[in-house]
Amino acid sequence: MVKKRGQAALYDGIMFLLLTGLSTSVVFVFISSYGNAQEQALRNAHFLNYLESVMKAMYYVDASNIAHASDSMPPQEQALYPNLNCRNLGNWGMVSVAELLKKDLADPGSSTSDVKLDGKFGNDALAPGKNAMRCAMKEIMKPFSYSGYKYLVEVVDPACTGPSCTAGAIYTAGEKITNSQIPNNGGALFSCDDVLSHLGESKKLMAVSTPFRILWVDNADANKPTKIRNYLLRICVWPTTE
Amino acid sequence: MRKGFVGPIGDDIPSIFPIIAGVMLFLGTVVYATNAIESKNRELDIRRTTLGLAYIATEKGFINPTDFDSRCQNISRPYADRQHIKFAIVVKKFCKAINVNTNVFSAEADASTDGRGFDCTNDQTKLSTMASDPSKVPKDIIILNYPIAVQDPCGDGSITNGLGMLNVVVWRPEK
Repeated sequence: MVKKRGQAALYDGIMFLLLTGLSTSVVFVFISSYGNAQEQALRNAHFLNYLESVMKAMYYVDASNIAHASDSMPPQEQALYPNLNCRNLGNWGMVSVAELLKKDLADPGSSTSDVKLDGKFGNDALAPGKNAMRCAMKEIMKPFSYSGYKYLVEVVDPACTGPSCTAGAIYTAGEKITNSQIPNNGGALFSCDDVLSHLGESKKLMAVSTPFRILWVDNADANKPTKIRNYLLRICVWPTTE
Repeated sequence: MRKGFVGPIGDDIPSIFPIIAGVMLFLGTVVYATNAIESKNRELDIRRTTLGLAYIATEKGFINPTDFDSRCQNISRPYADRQHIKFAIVVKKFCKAINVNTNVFSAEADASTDGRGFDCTNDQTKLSTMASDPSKVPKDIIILNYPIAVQDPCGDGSITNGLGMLNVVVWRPEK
């Protein structure tokens, strides 16, 4: 009986040790995940603030001051930014990047398909808005590019829902405003929605949109020729899978 | 009544060892958890404060020295004093291309073509020390960078606006 009493005491001691071990492991699991959600929220807030700063800076940076963005690009950068030539922006003096972009999008014509981000006002007049945006973004997004992120800038027409405008994105002719090499969707449009489809299940895409109003002249309307297009300028960023 | 193997108390002695081990393990875990949580809270707190300062500094997409000094005196310094932190906001100008390997603690130009920037801090001595000696940078320092438009990016008296980087640096004062 007393032998069993000794055994019982030892058994109780070992059980107590096991219980404390279990509670210790629960505490460690809690500590390992403590603050992770807050940390992620702070990181996202910083990313969003950075993207908002990019959008704000576009309204002030003069196109002539980014004329050297394409100088001495190493081969790996040339692959990311094909046919990038910023030198011709040196002639644009105190015109800001955002103003040039608006000129590019002020194409006359009331149809959605008349508006293109192609570096021209209409079909002939030079308005290198797309090029200015490409050059500016190449420099301003360097911290993100070097940290393994890709970006894409697009202009979105929220009112456009027909088949001619996939996800509302305005058609960008030629090279897109991006540092990504994800293939174009059918070679015609390349929007943040396309990127989201490509990323699939991971879906770690962050986007900031700002209102972007364009004044354009409708020559077909004698009563009220000056009109407004209410677009969105959107930038999306995602960790690279390339 | 038969006597126990050792005695009424001696039979219980072996059970003392796991009990003491369990108590010490539990208390040690509680102390470790408290320290870990406190450390994490301090880190999150300083990051939150840095972000708040960054929101103040990046309110506009363009910055000029006059506005910068005014905001420094009237908004940034009081905010930092209330949060009991040391901070520096350093604006750097880039004439041709942005340099991501720039010295974020110094407003001096990186390249000969760049214009000299400007800074705002509540601890100029420490900022100068960090700018000249990277080993003096505190371990808990937080640095956030944002793009911004600056006037006269090349320092040649131009009235055009060019590329700049605004660096928000925050650290806790030494005890």
